[in-house]
Amino acid sequence: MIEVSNVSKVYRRNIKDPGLKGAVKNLFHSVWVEQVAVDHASFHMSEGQALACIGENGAGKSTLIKMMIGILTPTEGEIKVNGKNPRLSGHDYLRSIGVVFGQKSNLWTDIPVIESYNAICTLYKLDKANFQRNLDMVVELLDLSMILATPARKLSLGQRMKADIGLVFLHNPKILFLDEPTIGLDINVKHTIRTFLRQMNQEQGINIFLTSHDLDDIDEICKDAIVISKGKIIYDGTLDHLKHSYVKQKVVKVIGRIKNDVRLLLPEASVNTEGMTTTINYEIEKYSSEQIIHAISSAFMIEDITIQEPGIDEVISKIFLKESIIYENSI
Amino acid sequence: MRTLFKLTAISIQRSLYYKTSLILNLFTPVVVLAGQYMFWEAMYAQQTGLSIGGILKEEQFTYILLAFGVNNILSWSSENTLAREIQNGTVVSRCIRPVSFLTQSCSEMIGALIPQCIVNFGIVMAGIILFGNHLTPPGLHAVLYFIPCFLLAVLLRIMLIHIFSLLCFFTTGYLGLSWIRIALFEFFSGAVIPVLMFPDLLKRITYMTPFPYMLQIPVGLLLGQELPVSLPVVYIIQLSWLLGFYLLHVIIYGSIRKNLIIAGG
Repeated sequence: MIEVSNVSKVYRRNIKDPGLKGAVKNLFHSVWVEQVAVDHASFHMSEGQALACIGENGAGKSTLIKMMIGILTPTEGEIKVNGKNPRLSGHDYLRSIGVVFGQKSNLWTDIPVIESYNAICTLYKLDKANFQRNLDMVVELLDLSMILATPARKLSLGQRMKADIGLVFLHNPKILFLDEPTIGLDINVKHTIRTFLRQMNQEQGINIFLTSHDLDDIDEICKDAIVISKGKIIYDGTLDHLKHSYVKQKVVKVIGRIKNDVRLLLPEASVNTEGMTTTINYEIEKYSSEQIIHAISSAFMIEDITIQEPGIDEVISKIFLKESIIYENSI
Repeated sequence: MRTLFKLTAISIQRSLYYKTSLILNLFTPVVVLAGQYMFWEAMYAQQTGLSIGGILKEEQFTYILLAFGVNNILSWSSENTLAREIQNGTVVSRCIRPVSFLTQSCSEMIGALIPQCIVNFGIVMAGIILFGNHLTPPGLHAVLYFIPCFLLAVLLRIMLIHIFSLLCFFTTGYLGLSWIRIALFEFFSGAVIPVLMFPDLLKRITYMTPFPYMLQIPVGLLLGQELPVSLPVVYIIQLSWLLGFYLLHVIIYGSIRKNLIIAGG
């Protein structure tokens, strides 16, 4: 569906010396440097997929989205959406996608939200009945009825974001590009938006390309991810695989009476006991799951047991830590 | 066409939203009109003959009133709006709508000029009623010839502002661009001094630019003044300049799309 092949984007940036002297000097002699925002990125997105793009600030995520929607021209490489270049596909392509930039509203700010929605019906040349069906759906699922008559300028951030997300679903987009859609929102609004997006992906098969710094968004909406660091794609695969390839530790929490000392059975694990609860922290390379289960069933009269999966935050933090060490060593 | 109407309606709604700002924008240019009236009143008072540059006082006052009505329909807010959108990155919303950039820009300006046109018409009518004995009202034929010329002049003016707005993609100094456009327009269009009063060489140069076809010519037509070329040629020249501006739009916008940078994440 979307094929990104060897795409790079290079910006030219004017470098100025500090202070008044630098400002005056720059008037007569400008120095330009090239800044690589996206560096030979390649990945594929298939029909119905929800793909997350994870990266630090300035990693190139937004630039990648802007190239995929056809606003920016890649310096090198090629992007194809359904076999066509989005830059040259024109209005037909724009009618088939929805774009939400968390920090920039697509609503007309000085008119009521419903007026912006009605404008979409005309601009996207929608069938009235179809538009009304979509409008009813987004109003119900995103709980927008109270804010439809309010101008976007007067909405809170959360309300405005919900209204923006509602707007992109009015024209039945096939692909949705979301750039930090839950930035600055409270937990209730985040939950509503995540649930809605997941539902749209699973029930209507809408492709989602999502960038977010809120890793819970990613965990709840997407199964697959690419990780981008300093413009380069350093991971392309499932979220589960990402978690397990970067995190080498697991935590097992057991509630129950102790029969034998588990430290003797798992000498290289870290064990901490408080009352009836014992927490066992072990490296997955040292013990197999079978060994762990055997040791725990021998050592405890088990009342309850939980195995904590690695959190996505922890995974990403480890990836970027590793990447920055590699980058610093290379320069 | 439905898209253009819808965006124009939104633009009108937006301009009507802020009442104080709307009233200020609509009526403060009357101060400029009053200033011009007093300036020419003083000029004619100093004069021993009846005319200046062959233009009688009554003709001049009618010209000032009508030129005000035609000139004042578009403000400089277009560069301002677009420059602000470019600086904060919200211009991206325009780029992702399935509507051409030109249509969006034109509909915005048409939406802003419609309320101003209504008010200006009222001001011109009030001027004719109040100072009717000093003015020379135009005949019916002149009005009929004027209407297409005026509509083409408005389109030309919209395209001029649009082209200058596009230049905001290349610089953050939108005020400088606005002032350049305003200075060029005000002088060469005959908004400040009628082109008929220019020295011959300057007059010839002025008629080679699009500016007099946006104001002096339509107003002159309404007043029955002598045109530099025949009426059909005036329409052809206006259409040619429109085509020229459109081609300029294609070239500039093509370059913008190729090198576009969107501010912020």
